Amino acid sequence: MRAGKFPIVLDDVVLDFPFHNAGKTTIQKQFLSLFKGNNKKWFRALSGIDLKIKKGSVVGIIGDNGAGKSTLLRVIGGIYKPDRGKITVEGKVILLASLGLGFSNDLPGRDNIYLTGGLIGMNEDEIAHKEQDIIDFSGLKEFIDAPLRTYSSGMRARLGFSIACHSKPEILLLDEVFSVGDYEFRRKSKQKILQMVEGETTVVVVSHNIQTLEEICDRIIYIENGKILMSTSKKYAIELYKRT
Amino acid sequence: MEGRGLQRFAAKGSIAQKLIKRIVKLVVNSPTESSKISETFALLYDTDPKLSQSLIYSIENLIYEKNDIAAAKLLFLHTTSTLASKDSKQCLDFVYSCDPLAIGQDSLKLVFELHYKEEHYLASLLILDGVSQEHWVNEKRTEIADLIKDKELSKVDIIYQNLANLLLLKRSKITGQGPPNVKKTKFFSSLLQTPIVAWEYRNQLGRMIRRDLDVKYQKSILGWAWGIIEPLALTVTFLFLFDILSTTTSRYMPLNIMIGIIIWSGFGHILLRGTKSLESNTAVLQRVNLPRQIFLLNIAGTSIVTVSLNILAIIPLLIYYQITPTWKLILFPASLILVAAYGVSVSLFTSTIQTKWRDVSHLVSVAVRIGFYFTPVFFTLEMLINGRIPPEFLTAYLIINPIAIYLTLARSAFTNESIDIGQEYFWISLLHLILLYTFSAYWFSRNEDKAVKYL
Repeated sequence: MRAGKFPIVLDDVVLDFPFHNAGKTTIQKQFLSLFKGNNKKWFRALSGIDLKIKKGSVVGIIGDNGAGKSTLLRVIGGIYKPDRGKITVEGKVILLASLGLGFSNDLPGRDNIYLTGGLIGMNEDEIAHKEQDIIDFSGLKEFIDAPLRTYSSGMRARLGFSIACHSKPEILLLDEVFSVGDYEFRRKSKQKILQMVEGETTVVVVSHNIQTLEEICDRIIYIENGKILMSTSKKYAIELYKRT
Repeated sequence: MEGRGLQRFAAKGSIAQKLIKRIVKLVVNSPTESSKISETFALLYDTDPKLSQSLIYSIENLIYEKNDIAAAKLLFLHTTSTLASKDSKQCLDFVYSCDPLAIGQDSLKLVFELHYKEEHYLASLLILDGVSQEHWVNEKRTEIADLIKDKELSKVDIIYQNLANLLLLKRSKITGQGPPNVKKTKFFSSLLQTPIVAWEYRNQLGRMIRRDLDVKYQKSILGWAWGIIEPLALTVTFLFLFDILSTTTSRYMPLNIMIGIIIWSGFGHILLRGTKSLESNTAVLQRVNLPRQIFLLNIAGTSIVTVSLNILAIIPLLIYYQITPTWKLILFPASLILVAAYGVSVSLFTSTIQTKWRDVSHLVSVAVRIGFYFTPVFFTLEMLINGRIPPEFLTAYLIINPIAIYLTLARSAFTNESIDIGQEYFWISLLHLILLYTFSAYWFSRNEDKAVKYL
């Protein structure tokens, strides 16, 4: 189909998760489950998601806790493979969740730029070239040489966002990144996102901060129980989410 | 008798499951006996009112595994009609969670009636579009249009309208399509996966290994020396014990023990940390789309580098024994890589199970400790052969434990001693390694996607 125009296409994606049942692991219950036969317990995290995201658009995802927002992002990011249905994602994808990427606590921020940059597919020269830009944007200044465990959660998020943006992703997935940053960081990252979108980067944001979403998104999707309730109108989706 | 009592006790919790099984059987084999089916359904609802999730799975099983869409439609119809009379919200939840393929005309009518009853006028109007034209459809449509005029639309209605819209879209789209795509694991490509990852991510692996080495002895005064102190202390201990307990020692005993302990600690490191390689990297695995073997390869690489550095500690002993290295020295890196490959092969298997059952890592740590005593680590294979073991057991032992052979190989790289056990054992150990890797690599690629879900 018009693949170039829609870098993210989900077709009836279904994802099941095993139940993390704490009592399940006791010997007695394990033993008894042998007799019960069918002891598989799954719950449906995503049930039949159909989604097409246009190139260069900013899409927000809202919904209650546990509605499947982060799971949806991870499926788009290729971390979970769907149990059923089809997903095609074209281009370099970077998923940024609230606590940074593959950070190592004992190393200074500067080393972590190299480590994380490598994990998300940048090569050595590329990182060296952009190192100063990343540090400048993150606003960490002299703290960049302090070990990461001394960072606050906001500082981590800033470093993570900065690395992710400078790696030139074609698709950027943001999971609650703005919730920990301060006002200045939010303003700056908003600007950066809009700037990236102009360069045809597709952005999908999960956030509970509806105000931020309203400002930057072209389209908002309202999810509940792993189903898309509303995906057409931005205003309507927000209104609906607020009322229910 | 006791066994049966236990079975009955265990079955109590799964009455609902059994009822569902019975219903599915009825639906498939005798679809005309609708009274019997609805009777069982009523029973099912009494035992477990929250039955929708299991039924969704049953319906999907019928559609995709047994290819029996008619039965699925019937099962769906019965479920909705049971739920509709008891709990309409749960019923609607079920309808919109279920596979649209299972929704037949009769069910669609039922859904319409439910929406109509609940005053979801917009949704019911949409559903009417899906219902095939009958005389009453147009009547209803005009009736609802009149009703909507004076009423303010509820938010719930709008949500259901949207859901109904999606449902109808999907229904029109998938009818006549084949089964969904299921990921098939190809046998040969699964074997190549790990080496390919190692090659493609070599730069990144190098960086990760350097990080591990940097962090390992951070904040310690002796730093690198700790890597040597442990094998040194253990060697002295075992020499002391041998001196007390036994009279037969080989010529290069301290050297042999030292090499054995250094390599074994590297091997144990791969097994212990490799088993936890997925579990302990949860944060990264849930954020970055990486080949999942990379952490295991990182651990193996770190171990290889550590062992290669620690082995330098035997240089004083080499000088003491006046050993001049020969071309045989190449056997050491070769056997080290074989040991690491064995550790990786085992860990590929154990790391995936570890995500579901955390017992595995405990089991592995016990195995590593026992293996230490059953492998010629602080003694030599020669001592074992000259011991009181019957030859047939020795053969079996050498087949089961290839590490014994790799260790002996690594020792001969320095001591130049050769042991008369026959070359065929080396090839057998290599075959053992290849078979193990084949199994583990295939297992890993079959189960990695599932394993990540347990993190």
